Order: sequence, then structure tokens, then C-alpha cells
Amino acid sequence: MPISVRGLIHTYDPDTPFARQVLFGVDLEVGDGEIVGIAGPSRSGKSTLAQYLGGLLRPRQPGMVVIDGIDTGAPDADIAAVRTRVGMVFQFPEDQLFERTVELDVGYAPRLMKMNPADVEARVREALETVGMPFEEFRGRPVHALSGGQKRRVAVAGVLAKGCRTLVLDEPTAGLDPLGREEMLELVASLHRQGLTIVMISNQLEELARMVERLVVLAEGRVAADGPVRRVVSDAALLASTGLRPPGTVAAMQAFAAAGLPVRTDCLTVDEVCDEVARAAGGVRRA
Amino acid sequence: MTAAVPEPRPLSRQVPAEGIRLRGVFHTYGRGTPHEVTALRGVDLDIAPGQFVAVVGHNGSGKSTVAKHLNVLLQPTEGDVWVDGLNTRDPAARMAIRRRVGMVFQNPDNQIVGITVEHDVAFGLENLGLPVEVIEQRIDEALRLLGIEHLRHEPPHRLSAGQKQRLAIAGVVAMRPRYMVLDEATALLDPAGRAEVLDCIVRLNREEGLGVVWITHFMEEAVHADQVVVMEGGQVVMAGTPRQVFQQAEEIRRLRLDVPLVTRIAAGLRERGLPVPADAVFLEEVVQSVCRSASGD
Repeated sequence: MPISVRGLIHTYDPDTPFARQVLFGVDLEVGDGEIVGIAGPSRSGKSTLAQYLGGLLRPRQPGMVVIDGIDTGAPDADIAAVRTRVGMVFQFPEDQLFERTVELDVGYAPRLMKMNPADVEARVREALETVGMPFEEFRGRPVHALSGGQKRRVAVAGVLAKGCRTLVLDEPTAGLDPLGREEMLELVASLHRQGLTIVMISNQLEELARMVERLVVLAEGRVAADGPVRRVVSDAALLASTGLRPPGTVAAMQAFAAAGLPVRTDCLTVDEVCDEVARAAGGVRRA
Repeated sequence: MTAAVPEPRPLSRQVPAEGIRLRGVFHTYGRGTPHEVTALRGVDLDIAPGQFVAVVGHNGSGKSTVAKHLNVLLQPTEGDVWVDGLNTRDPAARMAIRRRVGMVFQNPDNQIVGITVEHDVAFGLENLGLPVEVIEQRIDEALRLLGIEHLRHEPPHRLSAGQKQRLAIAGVVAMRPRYMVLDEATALLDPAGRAEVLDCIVRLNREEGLGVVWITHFMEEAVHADQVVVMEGGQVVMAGTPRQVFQQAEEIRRLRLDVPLVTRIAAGLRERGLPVPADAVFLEEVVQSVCRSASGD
């Protein structure tokens, strides 16, 4: 099991007048090869949880985080190993590129890990191919001459080159234009198809509904829902209580239902919406 | 639409006393250097006072460069920009133009200077040297219009992102500009924050007559506009009402932009034989036409 979180509690600035608790006992299990979405309004604790998954924060209070069998709260935990299992991808990952060429940038972590040059090259080759960039074509390219989408892929390859088989993506599409967003989502989908375990954090249910099979909703530091994405994003009461906006397709179906058309509301694509509305409208007409 | 260097025309016919007008605007960054980039290639655009204009286009289409021409952060390499009859090339008109055109950018944290919400709104007003009573009154008004009166004494870092962006807008509203240019003002906000900010701007436009230039890559946000302007490669490639523009779904996809969900649903329902207007942009009108047909009217 790549990720297992039990009863996780987090308080910023504990034992000071500024103490602020943001996680109140979070449980989360992510299985090998799964793609799981974590949604929640701003300040629901999503990014704090993400930092635990990547080993950037370690439990100091009650609660347990186990990454690939490593209990990160244990005083002697091998945190360096955790960071080679779970890779973190933040917003605008392309800002983290700094080497001259694609090959040097992607190979940075393997070189730091003192791998021999042949192994470094093999890692870089594999990581680049995984993000859809042929090694021979891109290895010598100067990083600054790449397009925005290519830079983003190089940044993800840099994370994969550490050997990570699990990726935690925190708001990977924030601030991107429609084209950049599509490229990023396509990349995440292709990583999942290649067997990587993916945890995608977003406040856009629209995107998550397209991408993930299972959705976890965080609200005020607690898991408010954890289940099949279709069921969670069409749970009107749940979303209303957490302040999340349903995907546009679900909102559209809710409007049809409110106007008296007998429809189900858990539609995730435009085709599903149209089929369902046409069916119900035809049915009502014939009745 | 093809780009052309504008014909010289007599000024009196070309310059309206009111509104914003761009004619044949070209802009080249880093001219004469190896990094020379031409961002605008002959932009013509008219914005009437009180109009809500949405400018959409993907990154690099030139929309932010247009925005920066509207309050003289940039000047045209070729062509002209007039604001209420004042030319942005005229150094004597620069301050007057900036008083008329307020700007709001993507990241509210870069636009907030005060230690509390009310201090932040007061900042620009104090620089104008206004009397204290007037400042008080303008702060009250701006906070009310943006719905953040209750946050008056809060330090800005305690605000949510949507509230911070509304504070940035309040600071501009308090200066009483005639036009407000918002350059991807919602791009970094979550969906709830985005709706919050857009609702405020629509209200300022409808109720206070503020002219709005709303720059975005979210097509869905353009439905409220009087005019939608689509940019590509430094040119205006489509312009019209939301109904006119969104109907051209193929063209919008070719420009690598999203066709709004309601438009896609309307098209899908029409394909399935339901009598939905082809130019629908609001969900309510689609729902109404389906329900009407279902009940057999």
C-alpha cells in the first residue's frame, strides 16, 4: 500500500496564542496504481495533508502516516527514502527547472543520489519517455527554449527520475490556460495508464470528475466523503455543506430536475447530460 | 480579419469624446534587440462607456498587452489608443487617463499595501490629497459595493483569496474610475472565489455604470458581457455578443479555447431533436425550452 494515513492531526504553531488546528483525525488509504482525487474548499487542509504524503511534514501529534511501509512519524524513519517513493508536483512546476539542458535537469536527483553515469542516463531516459518526450530528441535541448507545456513535462520527469512510483499533484492546473490545462490533465492520465499511483488535489470538481475514479472530500480538516467520484460529486447535500461547486454537468442536471424533469443528476459528460435529458423529455412527452 | 497599418484619417472623425478606442495598434516588445516579439498586430477595438467587454484568448494571444495599453502602462509601437478623447501618447494626458482607467491584476497579494482593509482602500485616496471626510465616505462606499464592510478592520493576510481580490478591486473603485480593466483577476481563485469576484463586477457594471474590460481565458465568464472579443496571434479574430460568438463552436475550438458548457449542452440536445435555441448561453433558457417541449406546449 503506497499510502496509509490514520487519525492524522495537525496544528500550526502549537502551544502558542496563534495555534490553529487544520487536520482533525484524517484517515486515507491509497492502493497501488490507484488514481484518487482530493477536493475541498480553500483552507480545508488539502495542502497540509499533501505535505504529509510527500514526507515534507511528519506526524508529531497523534496520528500515523505510512508511505510504502515507512512510518514517517518514527524518529528513525528514512525520510530520504520516502521522497524517492512519493514525488510532489506543485503549481507551476516549470518554475523549478534550473539546469541548462533537459538531460541535466532531469538527471539532477539521480546525480545527487550518486548513481553512476550509465544508471543516471537510464533513469533520465525512462523518465522522459514516461512523460512522452523521446530521450534522443530532447536530451540536449536548452530548457529555456521549451514551450510551457514541455517545461511542465520536464519538471514531472525530474520527479520521476528519483524513482517515484507515486505522484501527489497539488492543484496542477491552477493558473493555466485551457490548452495548458488539457496538456497537464492528459499527462496525468497517461502517467496513471502507465501504472503510477496518482493523488490529485484540486478545488475543481469539474476536472476531478473527468480524471479520477475515487474522490475524497476534505472539509474543515476532516474527511467528509470518500467514494466513487460519480456518487460524491452528485451528492448535493454534501457539496452544499462543504461549499464546493458541483461540476457543470451535475449543476445542469440539478436545474433540469428542479424544473420538474424526471432525470438522474450524476452525469459527468455532455453526452451523458444530453442522453439523459432527451430520454426524460421524450418519456414525459409520450406519457 | 486581416491586420493592416491604419489609413491616416482626420482626427475629428476618428476620436469619440467618450469611450475607449484602439485603432491599428501594434506593439513590439524589445524592439531592435534579438528578443524582439511583436505581441499586437493591428488591433481595432471600441469600448463604450458603461459597456462590459470580455477579452478572451489563450496565453500569448496578446490580451494582457492590450490591457496594458488602456491605462498607459504601455504605448503603441504603431497606431493609437484614446480614452475619452485623450490620446495615450500625449504625456500631458497620462495622469488623467490613469484616473479614468483602473487596473486589477491576477495576484491580489501584489496589489495590497495596507495593514488593514480600510487602510488599504485609503492608500490611493490619501495620495490624491482628499479631505478626511471624503476619504471616509469613499471607503464606506467601496467596501459596501464589494460586500466586505464586515472585514474593515481585518489585516489583509487574514482574508481568503476571493476576499483579497475584492479588496484590491475596492481600492480601485474608491478612486472612482470610469473604466476598470481586470486582467485574469480570477485565475488564481477557487471556483467559489471566482464567482464572488465576477458577481461583484457584474453588479458594479449594471448598477453603477462602471465600464468593464474583463480579460480571461475562462469562456464561461464571458457570458455576462455585452461584447466578447477573441484574440489570437496579436489580433482580434472574433467579436460580437456572447450569443454570436459562442455559436461558432468550431472556430472557438480551432483557437484552442473552451466552448462554454451550456453551448455544448444546447448543441447536443438539438442533435437529439429537442427544440433548444442554437444561440443559448444561459442554462435557464435551455431548461425552459426543454420543459416546454416536454409538456407538449
